[in-house]
Amino acid sequence: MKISCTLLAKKTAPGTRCAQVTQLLASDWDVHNVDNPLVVMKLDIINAFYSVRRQAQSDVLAEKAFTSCDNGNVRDGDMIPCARSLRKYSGYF
Amino acid sequence: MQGHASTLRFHDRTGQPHHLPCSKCGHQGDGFEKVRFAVTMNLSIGCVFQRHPACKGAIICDDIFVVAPLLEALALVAELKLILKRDLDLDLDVPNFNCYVPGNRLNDNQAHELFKNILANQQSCSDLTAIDVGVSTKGLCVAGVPIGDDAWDTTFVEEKVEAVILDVCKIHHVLTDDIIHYNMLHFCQNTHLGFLAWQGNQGPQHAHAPYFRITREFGVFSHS
Repeated sequence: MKISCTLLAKKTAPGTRCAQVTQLLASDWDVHNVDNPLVVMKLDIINAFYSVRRQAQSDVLAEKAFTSCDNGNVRDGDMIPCARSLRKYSGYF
Repeated sequence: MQGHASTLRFHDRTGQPHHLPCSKCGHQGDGFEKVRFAVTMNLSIGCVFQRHPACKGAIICDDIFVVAPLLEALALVAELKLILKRDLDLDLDVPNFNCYVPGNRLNDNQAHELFKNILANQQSCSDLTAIDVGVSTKGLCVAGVPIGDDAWDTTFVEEKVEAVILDVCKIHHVLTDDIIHYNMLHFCQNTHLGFLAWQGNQGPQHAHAPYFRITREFGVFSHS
């Protein structure tokens, strides 16, 4: 009931949408075993915006990997999927 | 490309050139920085989630929320920690993790014990031993929005309201300019409470909404 009400909310800030999605994903907690219960884990990144290496950004926009990443699962030259709508904003990167 | 380490060069009014070394970082206040950051993280995080089909997640800016059975969630987080460090030079702050076990089937002590046992027995989770600090069975704050049982939601909102009221009192004493005073209340404190009031959860915090109305004369929130 709580979730359906949440989804019907008229105003949705990005934070609210994130909370709605998280709440929705966590709604089926009762089908999981108590020994291995469903959990919601909030991860924290240290100085995220100031320390992130931006090479991956170039690769994603180019739709092609120029360096190996993901522990070697993505190799130099591999194609990378990218939302086409991002091309409109290429000047802002 | 923005966000890369670079050297900024500019000429002052006398024509003298200056060079400033800039570190890699986004521009504070730039709304598009969220998109840049998401595009940067998208590949690595997506690849890790793809290998853990039992795990689902939601991400907003630098907040990552993993929703999964405990064992699978810990396996994903352990791998994510390694991949983010290698690919993006990002460090996860494990002691600051928060975990919420919904359903009220366990109390906080039982949840702590469960986390401790699993972390002690899983070799792959050795980097996550400090994780049990923030385990709760009552609720979690997701991007400023409380999700949890009604009592936890109410307490969360009440604490935030108290904090805002305290801030309003401080502003009232410090600011002498009426316009700045009004703008601070209207666009900062009022927005904060407004967000809590309409953030969509029709739980008990919604009942607080009528209580928040700014009066310029007093600079406090009054009952409507």
